[in-house]
Amino acid sequence: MSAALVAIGLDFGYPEHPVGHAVSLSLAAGEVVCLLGPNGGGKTTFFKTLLGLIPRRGGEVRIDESDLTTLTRAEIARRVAYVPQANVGYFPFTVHEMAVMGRTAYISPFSGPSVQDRRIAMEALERVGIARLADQPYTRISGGERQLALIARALSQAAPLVVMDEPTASLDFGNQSRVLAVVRELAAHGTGVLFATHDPDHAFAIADRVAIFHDGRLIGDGPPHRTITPEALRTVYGIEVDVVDVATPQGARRVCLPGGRIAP
Amino acid sequence: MIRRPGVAAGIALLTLLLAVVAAFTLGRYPVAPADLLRLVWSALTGGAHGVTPTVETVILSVRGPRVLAALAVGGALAAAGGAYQSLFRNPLVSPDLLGVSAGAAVGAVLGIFLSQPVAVIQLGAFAGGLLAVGLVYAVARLVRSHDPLLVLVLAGVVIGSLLGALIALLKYLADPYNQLPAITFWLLGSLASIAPVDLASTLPAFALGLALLWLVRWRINVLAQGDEEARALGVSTGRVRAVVVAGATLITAAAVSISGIVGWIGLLVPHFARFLVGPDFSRLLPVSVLLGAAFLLGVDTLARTVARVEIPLGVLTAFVGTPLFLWQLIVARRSWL
Repeated sequence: MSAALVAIGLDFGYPEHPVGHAVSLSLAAGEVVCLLGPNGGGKTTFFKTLLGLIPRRGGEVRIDESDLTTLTRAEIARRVAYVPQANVGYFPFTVHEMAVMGRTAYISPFSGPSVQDRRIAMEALERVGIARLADQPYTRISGGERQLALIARALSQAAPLVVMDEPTASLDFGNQSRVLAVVRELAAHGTGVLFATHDPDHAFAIADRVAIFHDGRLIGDGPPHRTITPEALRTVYGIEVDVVDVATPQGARRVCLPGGRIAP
Repeated sequence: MIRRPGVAAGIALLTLLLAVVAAFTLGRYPVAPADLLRLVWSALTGGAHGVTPTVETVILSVRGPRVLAALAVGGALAAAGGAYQSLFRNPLVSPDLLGVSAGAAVGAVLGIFLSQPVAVIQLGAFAGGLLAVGLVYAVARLVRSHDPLLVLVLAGVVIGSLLGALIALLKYLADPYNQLPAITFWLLGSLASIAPVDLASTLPAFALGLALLWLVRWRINVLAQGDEEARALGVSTGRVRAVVVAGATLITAAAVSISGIVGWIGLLVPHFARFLVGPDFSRLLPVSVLLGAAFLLGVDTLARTVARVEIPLGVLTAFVGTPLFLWQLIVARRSWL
């Protein structure tokens, strides 16, 4: 039975105000699912509810057929890893130490990481290409490197599913491509990745499926080519967008170009 | 930042050793280091030591318990401070955050007010510290919030204030000739009247509290990433937090019960320790304990030698600690970031 994370009719938000209604979404091992939506739309709230970090208002979340609320935090962590947006951090743990923290779900409450845990963390750093930063303080590296460090942390967690919250936010052009490549490579190795983004081009680049999030609901869920349409983008972002196929040496690629009235 | 834990531990041990030698040899009755060595050697090998009975009394009965108490209290406060700074993700936090010192003070002051013997006063301090934190925890649980740390801190501040007001009231009502000086003296902190029985009775609390903190040393590192991230990484944050608070409260309450209120160690020493070995609690804890022990021992030696009258510990730790802290802030350039 392959791993699966499923939200069924999930209502989520905070006691003072609801954010999302009846959202149903699934993530299976080996697929890349993109959650597309505008800033402040509730994608982060959805992810936190999906992982049980904030209580849900209604509906269900199941991991591998088990209701989320019946599992301990360690059990959940062994099945789903979470990559939040990278922040500056308070204490100068090294990048390697940050990656080792991904092993916590396998370390019993009263012991410390084993030699093998440290080795797995180092391999994770190598997989995302930042092994040279292993002894650097996490607080002193660049934003893109911090995001890669958090991805390495999720990798050392060795969970079959990974949920990433806008992993390319505030990254430069090069680092964005690097992160997307890492996500694609993860899926190729059998990991299921759900990542939130506001940029539809990311979905075209690497997603198997895209779910479009608008006004607290999903208004589309399917392969990017069928789901990301100018109409959908107009609904979500309120602008005119040309969705075009471009010929490249790697083959035809589809991209979104904001069109319409961008007056000089 | 020095990142070689072996070197750092060596520095800490050396500092501690110097502080111990200084504490035994300095004072109104000077003791030669050679005599100290002879006594230690004879204790290790079982032979005669050839030291005069007076010197032997000074070393074993007068200074010995005081040195051990200073080591224990200093180490305990530093360990608790380090644990809280990681737990609350704030390098400006001290062990008093959740009101253990205020509770202990109420217990002790009440004991003095009711003219109780020393043993009861100490027990009152210990119990008061534990009860205060228990009350803070109970209050925090009543408040539903998605920021459990903030709620704990707020409850600690509020209860701490309440207990402070209670102490002020007791001071006001106390007999100004007999009780008030004793209350004031206790609140300023001192190791002058340490007896071996004090150490024996607090040893279980010190040992248990330190053991609790050591056991969850890795979880503390993960908690320092924030409550949500720690939970996503598989930590039952509520439980670990409870263990850390229990451990820190045990050792702080035990320390305050025998020394009175001694500030600045829990805040300052973990900074230096973090500067030496970084934030990993499995290294931070032992180095904090060593440095805290050395620091308080040094301050205590200073307290009884620098003037003709003994200076209260709490006063001296502030006088010594404040410039050190400022220096560390300026030199290290926000080294905790």
